[in-house]
This record gives sequence, C-alpha cells and structure tokens, in this order.
Amino acid sequence: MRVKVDTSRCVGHARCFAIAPEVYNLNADGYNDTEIRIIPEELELLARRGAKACPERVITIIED
Amino acid sequence: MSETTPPADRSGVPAELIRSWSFGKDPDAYECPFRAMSKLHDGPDIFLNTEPSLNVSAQPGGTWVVTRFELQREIQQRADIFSNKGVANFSALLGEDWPLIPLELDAPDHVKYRAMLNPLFSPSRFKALEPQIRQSTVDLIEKFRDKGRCEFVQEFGRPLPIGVFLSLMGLPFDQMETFVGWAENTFRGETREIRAAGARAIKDYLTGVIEDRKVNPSDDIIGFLVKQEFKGEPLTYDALIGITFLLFVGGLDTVAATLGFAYKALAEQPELQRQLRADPSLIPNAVQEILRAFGVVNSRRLVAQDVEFHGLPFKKGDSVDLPFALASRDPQQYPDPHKIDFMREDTVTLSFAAGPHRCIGSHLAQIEIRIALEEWIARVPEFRINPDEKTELHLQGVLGVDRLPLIW
Repeated sequence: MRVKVDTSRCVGHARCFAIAPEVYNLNADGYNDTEIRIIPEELELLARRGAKACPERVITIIED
Repeated sequence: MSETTPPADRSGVPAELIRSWSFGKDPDAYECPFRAMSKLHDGPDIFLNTEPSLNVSAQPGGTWVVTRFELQREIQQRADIFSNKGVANFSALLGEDWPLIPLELDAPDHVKYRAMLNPLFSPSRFKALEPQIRQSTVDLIEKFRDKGRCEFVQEFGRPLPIGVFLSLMGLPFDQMETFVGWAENTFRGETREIRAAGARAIKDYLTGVIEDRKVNPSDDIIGFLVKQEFKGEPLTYDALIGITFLLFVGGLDTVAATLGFAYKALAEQPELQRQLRADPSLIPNAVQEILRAFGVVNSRRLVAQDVEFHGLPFKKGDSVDLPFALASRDPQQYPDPHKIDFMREDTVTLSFAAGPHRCIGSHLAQIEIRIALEEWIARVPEFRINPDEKTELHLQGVLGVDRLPLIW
C-alpha cells in the first residue's frame, strides 16, 4: 500500500500528522510534504485513518 | 421562513429557492443556535436569502446561504471563482480601504503573506508553548476552584485564549477588558457609529504599538512583522495594520466562543464530564468532536465571475454565506449531528474553514481547548449551570457565549 498526497492542495490542517505522525511528515510551516510513501503493513491502518481525517481530501490510498 | 417575490435580476432562480430567513428572530436560536440553524437542513441545499444575513445588511438581490457541509467545502476550495476580497470590510467602517491580511486577499498575494506568517503559527511552534499555556490554565482555575462557582466566560473562557494571544503579540494583559470591549463594539455594536468607533480604537492602538516596535525591537509577533519584507520592500503601514488588525479580532473571539459552547454542553450533559473523568485519554478526540459540533464562525465569499454553480446562476459580486454551524450539524455529513459524541472516529470538521484560507490559529486553538479540558477535568468536580443566574448567548459576528454561570 502507498499513500499519495497532493501537496499543492494541502492547506495545513495537519490532521494527518496528528493521527499518524509515523506516516505523514510536516514541513516547518506545518504543511504535509510527504508526496508519496510506501506504507509497511503495521502502519496501514494509521495511514488510512490519517487520510480519512483530511478535510481537503488530498490524501489518496493506493492499494498495490 | 416564508417565500417572497423574486427580485427582477433573479429571474433564473426558482421561486422556491428565494426565501426570507432571519436567524436573529428565531427564539430557539438563543437556546441552541446550532440546532436552531439546522432547521434549514429541511430546506434546499442553497437558497437566496432576502433578509439581512448573519454578518451583512440585506443585499440588493439577496444573499446565497449554503446549508451543506459538502458545498461549503467546495466553495472554500474553489478560490478561483469565490473571492475573499472585501468579505469582512472593517476598513469600510472607517471610510478607508485596506484589506485584512491574509483573510481578504486572493492568490497570488495571499500565498505570499501566508508563507510569511505560517512558520509563526505551525504545530511545532505551539507544541513548544504548551507548558506556558498549561501554567496559565492552572492559574486561572485555581483562582475560583475553591469557591465552588465561576462565571465561566469572564473567569476562564476569555482570559485563557486572550492571555495566550496577547503574550504572543506582546500586548499588555492588564488591558484585556479594554481590548475585548473594542472588539465587542466592532463586531456587535448596535449602530454603525459604535462599530466604527471600535474599529478606530483598535486601529489607533495598533498604530502606536507598530511605531513603538520599529524603534524598540522585540521578539513578539508585531516585532517580527515590522522586520519583514514583501516583494523586497518593508511591509507598508496598511499591510502592518491589515495583519495585526486581523490577528487582534481573530485572537479575541473565536476560542472563547468555542470554549463557551463546549462547557455549556458539558454542564448540561454531566455524562460527558463523567466519560472524560473516567478516561482522560479521550480528551484529544473530545477536542475534535467539540470543534465538529460547534462551528462558531459565519464565513462568506464573494462571487468573482458569473458562474453556474450546481445549477444556480451566481452573479459576479453576489455574497455567498457559509455559516459553519450548518456544516457542523449537516445530517448528510454526520449521523445524529446534534449528539455530542466523544467516541466519533476521525471526524472531519470545517470549523477552521477549508481551502487556502484555513484558520491560521487552528493549531493554537486545538492545544488551548485540549489543555483547558485536561486541567479542568483534573481539578474541578462535576459542574452544572447555576439555574438562579442567566446564561447569555450572542449570534452576531461569531456565535458565542457572553455569560455562563457554573456551580459545583
């Protein structure tokens, strides 16, 4: 599983990071700078919850 | 709500979408503004209101009111067709023309100012301030805890967030009452003269502070701003006023309003208090539920170009009202929307707005609400509203609580 973040549409709610800091990274402004990342199995649930909590819906889960 | 004759220039709007809605005249609004506003969810997703809307006087041709979470999100994300220019218009009260920055700017200037300000308001910066915020919270609670009572708004709901904010700005805490009075007049003054006098007092005061920081450097936000450049030049006086005025009015009102509604709900539903006392690890989730349930801001956008939006003919210059309380209680978004449920999972909220104008203070607000709950639940026994005293709400500006007498 991978997560893909449309960082150009991230506006810095930082809910993904609040829920899944192991998966998503914030830059110094507090915006997500994780463009794409392969997710180890043990973090899949957290990654999904972080994506679901994004008010902008800019995080996509890609099932491999 | 009644139906009225369509204005001439609204010939393309179906008659059933032209309505007359006066929130302030609904007596239920003073009991629970969120439930009262949610009556609109029985009607159309978007309607044209011929009455004065929440923040603006009646517009010729009416004001669009958007009742759905999903549509409010879409409008806020479509900053290309929904403009922020002139949405608050405080400078017009003074017969002047300067925008609140970044709120009343569109891209590309909006993007540049946000880039300047974002590092000051990032989650990591406020994480570092947590011990200081916690100490202020404890100090406030200890002042009234042994009395078995407090007037929540005056003794906690306002001084907590306002104290943190004034310290960030480098403004004196002992002037809090004066500052709150100015902001109250600006937002909720009964006449235009009172509102203008409030805005004038804020602007004159900030002008003095800005001039002082130029000669006496400081490490607070205003001291930071006077050293900044925009497009290679120092910030203009209008830009410094636009930024500091926005922070001032934004920092004094919104968290206090949210805390007021949250503690009113906790006092009315002691089972919610018991839940948090039994398991304080629920508090972070409770913060999200509080934000979800109590969208206090009444936001708006102005249509930048004639456009058909979900089949409706929006005209350039139309005002589009986005009362966040409607997103908060939209049954299409949240099952059982009026139930405060600290067990809701991964709730998405629009209470900090969506799109590029996401509330810049959102991370500070969340920390303040969390620490307020943690320290209160640890120190104050089960509390309720004192039935012998009045609870008072206001509906203008942001939805808020003016008075909340608690006893324990």
